[in-house]
Amino acid sequence: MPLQLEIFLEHLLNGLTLGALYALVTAGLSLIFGVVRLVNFAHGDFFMVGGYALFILLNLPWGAIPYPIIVILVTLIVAVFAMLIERLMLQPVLDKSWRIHAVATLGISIVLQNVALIIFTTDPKQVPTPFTTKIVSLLGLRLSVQRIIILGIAVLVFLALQWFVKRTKLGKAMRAVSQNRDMCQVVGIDVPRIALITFAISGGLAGLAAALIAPLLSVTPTMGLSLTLKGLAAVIMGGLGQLNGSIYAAFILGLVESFFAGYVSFAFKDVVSFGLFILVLFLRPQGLFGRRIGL
Amino acid sequence: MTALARARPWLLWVAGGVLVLALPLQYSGGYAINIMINTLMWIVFALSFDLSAGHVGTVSLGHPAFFGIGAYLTALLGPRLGLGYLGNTLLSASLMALLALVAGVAFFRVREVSFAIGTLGAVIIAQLIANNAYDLTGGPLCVKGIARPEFAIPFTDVTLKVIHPLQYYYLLVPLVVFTIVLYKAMTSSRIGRAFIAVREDEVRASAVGIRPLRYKLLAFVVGGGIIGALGSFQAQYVTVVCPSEIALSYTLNLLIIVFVGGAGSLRGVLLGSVIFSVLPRLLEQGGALSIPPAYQQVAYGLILILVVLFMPDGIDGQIRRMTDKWHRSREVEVGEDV
Amino acid sequence: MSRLRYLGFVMAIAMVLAACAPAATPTSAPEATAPAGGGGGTQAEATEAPQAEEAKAPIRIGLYAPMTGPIAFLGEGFQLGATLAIEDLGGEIEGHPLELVVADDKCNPTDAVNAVRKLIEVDQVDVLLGGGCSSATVAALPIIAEGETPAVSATSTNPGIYNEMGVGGNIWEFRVNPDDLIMAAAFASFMAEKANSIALVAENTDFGRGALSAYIPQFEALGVEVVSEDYFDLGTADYRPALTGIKASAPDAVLVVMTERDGSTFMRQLREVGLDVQVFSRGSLTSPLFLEYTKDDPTIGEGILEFSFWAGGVDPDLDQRFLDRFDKSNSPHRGWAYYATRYAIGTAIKNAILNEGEATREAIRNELEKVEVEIPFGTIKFDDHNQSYPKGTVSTIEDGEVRFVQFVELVPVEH
Repeated sequence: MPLQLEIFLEHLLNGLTLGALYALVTAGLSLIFGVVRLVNFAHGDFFMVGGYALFILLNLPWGAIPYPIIVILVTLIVAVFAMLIERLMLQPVLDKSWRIHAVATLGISIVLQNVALIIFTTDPKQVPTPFTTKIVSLLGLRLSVQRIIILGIAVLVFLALQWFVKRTKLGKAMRAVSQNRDMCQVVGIDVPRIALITFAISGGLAGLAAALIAPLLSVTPTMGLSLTLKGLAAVIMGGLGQLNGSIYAAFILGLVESFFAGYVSFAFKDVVSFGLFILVLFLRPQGLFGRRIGL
Repeated sequence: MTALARARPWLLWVAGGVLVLALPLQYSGGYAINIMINTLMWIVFALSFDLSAGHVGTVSLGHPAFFGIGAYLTALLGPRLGLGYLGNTLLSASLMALLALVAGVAFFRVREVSFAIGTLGAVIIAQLIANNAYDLTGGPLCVKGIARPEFAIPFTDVTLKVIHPLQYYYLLVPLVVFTIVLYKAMTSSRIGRAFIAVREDEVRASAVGIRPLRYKLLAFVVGGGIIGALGSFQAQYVTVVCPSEIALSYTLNLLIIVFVGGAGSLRGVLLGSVIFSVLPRLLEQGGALSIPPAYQQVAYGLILILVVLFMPDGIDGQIRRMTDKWHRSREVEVGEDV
Repeated sequence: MSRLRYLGFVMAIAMVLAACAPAATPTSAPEATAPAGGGGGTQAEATEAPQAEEAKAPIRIGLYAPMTGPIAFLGEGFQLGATLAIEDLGGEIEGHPLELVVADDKCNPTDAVNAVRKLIEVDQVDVLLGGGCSSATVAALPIIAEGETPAVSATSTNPGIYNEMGVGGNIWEFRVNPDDLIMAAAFASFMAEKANSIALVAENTDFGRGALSAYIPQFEALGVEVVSEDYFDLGTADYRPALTGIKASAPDAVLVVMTERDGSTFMRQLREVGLDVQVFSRGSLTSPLFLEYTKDDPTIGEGILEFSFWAGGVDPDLDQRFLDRFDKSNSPHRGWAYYATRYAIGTAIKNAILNEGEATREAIRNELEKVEVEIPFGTIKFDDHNQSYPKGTVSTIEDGEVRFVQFVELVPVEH
């Protein structure tokens, strides 16, 4: 039945958009864990910061900036923001245990959320772009142009990330640090600098995700939390510190959620995605795509 | 002199005990006593959490699940089984200890970060079920009208119904005492040393014959049971149980209390609990210093970051360093005397 | 040296906070969400009035509502409404200055119990307003009875509360707004005229769950087929999976039980999916606030039929007052907090002073029972269950503007 197929395709599309969101967030989390062994509970809040940056840039009093430039600006703003956080609050504890990392980043998360609450109140901020309400029909599917942009850019970004990590000198240095930190120090790689750059990339990815995807949603102070949780689940499902594995896992989560929500129950979709995560944790603690080490 | 020095900790405990028992009598209203009840509850909650997080080093972010599910057990099974206060509490405690055992066996297959995030996933699932399994839990409409505890006084026809916060306060005190004594007993014995060995290095601990899983489970199960009992108390105190009782914010509060107070230390956790629950209220009472909740949260977050950066052992570590210095200087004097 | 840098950074944050804080704490109550001077106004009147005449004891109104958390906007709405009402009363009643004391119930029972205890025992309020959510109100009921303090609920629509009030046992609690059972009985037949099958969506809260559980039996009785039932947690970002599912089952209409916050995101995505059906709503999707949230594309709300006990445009003077005073649009919570404070509580306090000499808690309660006052949405007058029956409203959005359609009489129903 064509209608059935249409509905199926629509769920697929929803799942891919959601997957792209999770993947952009997860990639940043995974990079940080891979390179500096830090679980960043404030990562979703970077996305939130990007959302408010977008809100401000879209509503500048002296007229609108073209959207593509705004996307670049938001990406850069959050990248710089992440670097600041790293330098001021996290660098001194980077060589401490993961427990300290967890408490420090949770502290940062509380501060960011509530400062946003004080400045912007709980009112959700709508951040529509000119593309949000532009709707095209494709194979009988109605979708916002914004969604096409999201999927296109997400694919480009992941390809670029592959190239960066595998081919560039900096990327190779990051991989080296992730595999053996002490050795890197011995051969003269500037480990703190690598950590800083990793945070910049990670923050930039969160900022990019916000600039692209927040226009379909709305921006609130607490929006980062659920993204952090989903991202962490994907990072572990993909295998801690494995960039590609976690990106695949993020898309799996997005698709599972969409199909379950569409065909079975919306209310229990997160039960299924977190249940899947815990199942993977029990059955394959090293992750779905488990090798032991590596980016 | 030495006798007094040796007796001092005991004197402190006795003084503390008298204070805990007598303080609420100073207040007639329920509000102040309510704050004291909350303080005691955080003490029990945080000590149970610290048993795992501070001593064995397994930081479960899912502890609120034991609290919330324990409360729901009392709310849902209590009226059907008609067990009364003690029965409800014991039922919640034993079932939550059992749940901790099962969850522990499952989750301790993974370690550190994976364990923490896995338990976080579990508590989210529990909350989602509480929120959405409408037929079972009533979802966001909550379970209401939970019976207040009643005690038949022996040899009379009189039944005492617990209504006023003051009565609840004294009902809670035994659980607090039990928790503190158990915590102290476990951590200052051979078990406690095994806990620390597991925390510092699992491989080395196994090498000297300490089985890490066994001790991780022990701390987890004891903590789970106590928190289950606490959840049952909460249900019978507030008489309403909602999905918000399985809240992630409880995990944050626990981390603040334990890490700011001093992980792995009885004194630290006690201090953390009291400061956390009393200080904001005192500032509120002051009137002029009333801090809007969002600012309070920012302050908590900053304090957490500062503590991690500058006093990794929390307030207790700071105190210990100061008293150590004092003791050392005294020892020198004593040495000269002899 | 590097430590100095951190300290500098932390100091900087602390200074920013300090710079913001004084503006936000002009009164003893948490005023974080109040507009500048909003809370200060009542405070000023509270202190000036006694100088004008011989010092009369202030009368304190205690508000418990969520001031923090995901639905703090609700508490803010209550605070704005009550503040404006007190200002319109002249800041005093019979020479007694009025004070508003706010406590945060976080929309959950535990904090509601705390908040109400604090208001009754510590702040010694004379009358309570609240709570913002039904679950908070329900939890507060026993504390209110125990504290023997009159309380007025202005937006809690949970039907269960009816049975507890008045002859139900709790003589201290009054409710000015209709509950879901009362409304569903009147509205369901309106919806049945336009739809034979309906998809139900609601926020997963006491509000959403409570409303749908009142409507479902009504639809069954009227022969309207319910094709699906979905609940969304507050702040849900992506509704598309559910919308696609609803599209697949092709109902005649969708009933949306959400406030404008989540509702605006939901409607945006409903339009994107191209779900071309009649939208009924029970929340506040035809409020000026909703239009504010969707101002980039005013067609989003076009044609929604809202069934409620409040509609924009019925009381244009008050709508304008909110804009003038706070630069904010009127909304159900803001409006009803205003009516409850100005007319129910205000009238009872005044009569208590005139008839019984003093506005004690008991006198205010006695006078609340006798209140009969007209407001633009009908009459505030309590039955033996302390329940009032204002008019139901139907409103819509047409050409990007809120249009009031008609009133619907609400009558007592079996609870």
